This record gives sequence, C-alpha cells and structure tokens, in this order.
Amino acid sequence: MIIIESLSKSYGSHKILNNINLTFKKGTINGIVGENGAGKTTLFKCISGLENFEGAVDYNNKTLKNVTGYLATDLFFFSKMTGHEYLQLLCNARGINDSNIKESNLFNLPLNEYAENYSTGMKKKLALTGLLIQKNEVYILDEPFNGVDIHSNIIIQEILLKLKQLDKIVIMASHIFSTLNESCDYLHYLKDGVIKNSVSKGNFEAIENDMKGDGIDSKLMDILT
Amino acid sequence: MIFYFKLQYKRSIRSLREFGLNPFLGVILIFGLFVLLSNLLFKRISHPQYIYVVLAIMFTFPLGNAKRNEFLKNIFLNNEYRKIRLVENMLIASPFVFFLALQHFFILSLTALICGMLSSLYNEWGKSSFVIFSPFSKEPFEFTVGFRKSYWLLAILYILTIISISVGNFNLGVAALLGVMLVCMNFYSITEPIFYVWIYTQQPKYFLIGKVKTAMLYSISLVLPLMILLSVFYPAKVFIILGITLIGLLYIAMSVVAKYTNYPAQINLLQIIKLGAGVIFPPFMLIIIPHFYLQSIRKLNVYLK
Repeated sequence: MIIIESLSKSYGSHKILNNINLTFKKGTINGIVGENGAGKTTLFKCISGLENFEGAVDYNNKTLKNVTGYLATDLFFFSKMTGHEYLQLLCNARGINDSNIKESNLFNLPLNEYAENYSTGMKKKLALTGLLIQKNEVYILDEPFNGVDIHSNIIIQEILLKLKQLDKIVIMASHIFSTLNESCDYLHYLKDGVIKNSVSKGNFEAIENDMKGDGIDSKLMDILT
Repeated sequence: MIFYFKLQYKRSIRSLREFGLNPFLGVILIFGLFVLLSNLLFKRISHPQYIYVVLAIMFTFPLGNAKRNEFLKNIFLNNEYRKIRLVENMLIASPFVFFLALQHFFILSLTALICGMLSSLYNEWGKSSFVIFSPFSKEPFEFTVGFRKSYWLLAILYILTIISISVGNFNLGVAALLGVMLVCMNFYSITEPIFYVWIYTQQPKYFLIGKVKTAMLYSISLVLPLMILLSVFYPAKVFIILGITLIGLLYIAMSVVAKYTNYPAQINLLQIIKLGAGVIFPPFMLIIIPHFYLQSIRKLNVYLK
C-alpha cells in the first residue's frame, strides 16, 4: 500500500501541491483527474521520486522508486537509439538480464528502427512496453491513452486489468473520462493543487459534475466570434 | 520575422546566463575566442581558407533540422519562412565570411556566403530512418548513440593511423589514437533527462562506477586495433602508446564523472575550465577526477536511492 501524507510541493513561492493525503491499495487502479495545470504531473513526479517535496510517501518501508514504472506525458527518446536498445536500457537499469525483448513486443513495434522516428502513439506504446518488461510493482501512467489508436486503446485497458489481477498498484491520469470510468476503482479530483474529492467506483458521476466548468460557452463565443 | 530574430536573441542571452556567464561578457568571450582560434588556425595550418569555407557551410547544416523546419513552415507563411532561413544561415556563416575577407580571400569569402545561403534549401538534417549498426547495443546509451553519430570521424581516425604507418609518421598515429579517445570522451558531453537516471535501482556510487566501467570497456575495444597496429609497426615505442592510451582512458573517466557534477543541468563554465585543465595538464586529473566524482555523487543522491 502506498500512503501519501501531507505532500506539498512549491516552485519558489508558487505552491503547486498543498497537503495531499492519499492511499493507494494493492490490486487497485486509481485515477487522478483535474484540469490542465492542476498539479497531476507534479504529483506523479513527487510520488515516483523524480521531484523533491515536503511530506511523506511510504510504500511498505521499501524504496518506491525502485519498483515504480513511470509513463510520462512528454516522452523523450535519444536520437539514433532503436526501440530495442531503449528496452535494453530499461532492463539494464533494473538489473534484468533474462528478459526476451523480442517476445515482449506486445504492440508489434518495429524495434529495430530508431525510436525518435516512431509516431506519438508508437512512442507511448514503446515506453509502456518498457515499464511492463521491468516487472514493476507500481505503475504511474500519465495520460496512457493519449495518441494511441483504438486497437491499442483496448490492449491498454486489458493491460490495466491484468495489472490489477496481479495485485499491482496503478495510478493514472486521463482526460478521457470514459476510460477512467471503465478502468478505475477509485477516482481523485485534484484542483489547484488540492484533492477536492475522492470517490470509489459507482460514484464517479459526482466528480464529473464537479469538473464541468461554468462559463465556457461565453468564453468560447468570445474567441470564435 | 523581426520578432522571430528578437526571440532567438533572447534565447541566446538566456543560454549564456544559464551557462553562468554574463551575456555581455559571454559575447566578448565568444568573439575573442573566435578571433584567437582563427588566427592560430591561419598561422599553423596550410590552406586554412578552404577549411573555413567548409566550416561556414557545416555550421549552417544544423539549422536545417527537419523537425525545426516543419515547425517554422507550420507557423510562418512560405515567403517569410524562406527569408528567415536565408537570413539565419547568412548570420551563422558571417563570422567565417568576414574573417576570410579580412585575410583577403575575397572569392572564397563570397563562396562561403553563397554556399551558406544555398544550404538554407536543405531542410532534412537529422531525418534518417537508416539504422547504422552499433556494436555497443548491449549497454545503451552513450556509446550506442555516440558511435552512430561519430562513426565517420572514427573511420577517418582509423584511416589516419594506417596512413601514419604507411608514411612512417609515428606522431600522426599517436594523434589518431588520442583522437579516438577524445571522440569517446565527447559521447559523455551531454547530460540526459532525469528519467534516464531515475530508472536505475543502483546507488549513485555504483551507478557512476558502472558508467565508468562501460566507458572503459567500450573505449578499449575501439582503440585496441590501433594500439596493436602501432605496437607492431613501432615496437620500440610500445610504452609511449600505452602511456597515451592510459591518459586517454583517464580523459574518458573524467568526462563520465564530470557529466553529473551540475546535474540535471549541463556542466557549467567553472567545471569546463577544470575539465580543460585536466586535459591540458594530465596530472591534474588525479585531483579533478575524485573531486568531480564526489560532486556528481552529491547531485545523483537526489534521484538514486
């Protein structure tokens, strides 16, 4: 179980996250929703140990970052590095020597081509494959459905369910509410760096209603007319 | 178009500030270095004017980066885009053009300018789907990527070694050997995004030692053929060859540990000066390497636990 206690994060005087308290149980899929700039990516970076923060994140007294796979929204791939080499790098980083990378090619990616030349969706699939090969215990997925085709979308949904069956912890963000509705067990609404609402499956509509912004019609008309 | 160039000016100033330089001082320093190196080149090398024409063209090529040009085409009208490409290429080529003119190579100066302008028509830089074989795929990424980017340079240095043997010029062979190691050193010149450090489960100490080991092993595999060749043809100079190789390997180890001294930012000016001191006066490396190692460990502690 991951326990987040009083997590806060600031950049200078600008507070991004303020006193976040959350718990993620094993075998659950947890959605974080919020508008752009609400602090979702910062929260993910703090949990995974990519950013320093105030407060505490505990995972059964283990070092969380060493068992976490993080799928970023803005993926970076080195130029002149093939998909196969990217996966090899991820395996090496975790000391995995026995992984058969070719057999792990779930999305039939052209692994012998340069990853930088992949399409947006292919890059996302490559990064996701890398996290799966690492056999992580925790998966933090920032917009996993962005840019992928319908077929891959279905495969990702299947992967999420399989991870849940395998008792993994999944934390993800998505702007596509239907995907969260289908996959998640819990949903947390992050607004202006604060958790406004947390609900379990069956009550997601409450958050969807919370998120509906008012006044968008008039703003849109201002821009378009 | 004017706004675009104002923006580029602002970006350059910001880069100088991030590098730890006062922008005004930075511009003077760059200008001074250019004049100094140019004068050195024109004094020491025969026919430097031709090298200058090639340099002027080479420096304009990166502006033809495919992704960058797609972006520019996307936001500017075709006429504006063409003008921007032409002007920026002229600006990049201009120091070489002016220096050639100052040295009274007027025709070559004009050639450099025209070629620089013509290269604005080439906008496919870096767009290649052809995968070059790399013998270093087992331990990505520095050598894997570096080899693919610099294989042509390594090939030239290998050829130079063979020429040094055929013409009986030992110094040329040693220079090529050292050149290969400087190329390897350059593989570690750019710091990777945090994610590529964070993924490691090792503690900073083991992470750094692992990087140094890989660098040593792969560098030796690249210089070993040259060492053998030179040792066979110049058996009396084996100890010089071994000495140069050892210094080269220390250069590479120094560049590996230097890479993370200011992480996640690129290494700063002060660290570059220290690195340069180590290269110019190798005994300094005995102090600089442990110093960089400790600095890097401190920076990596944030991301590796």
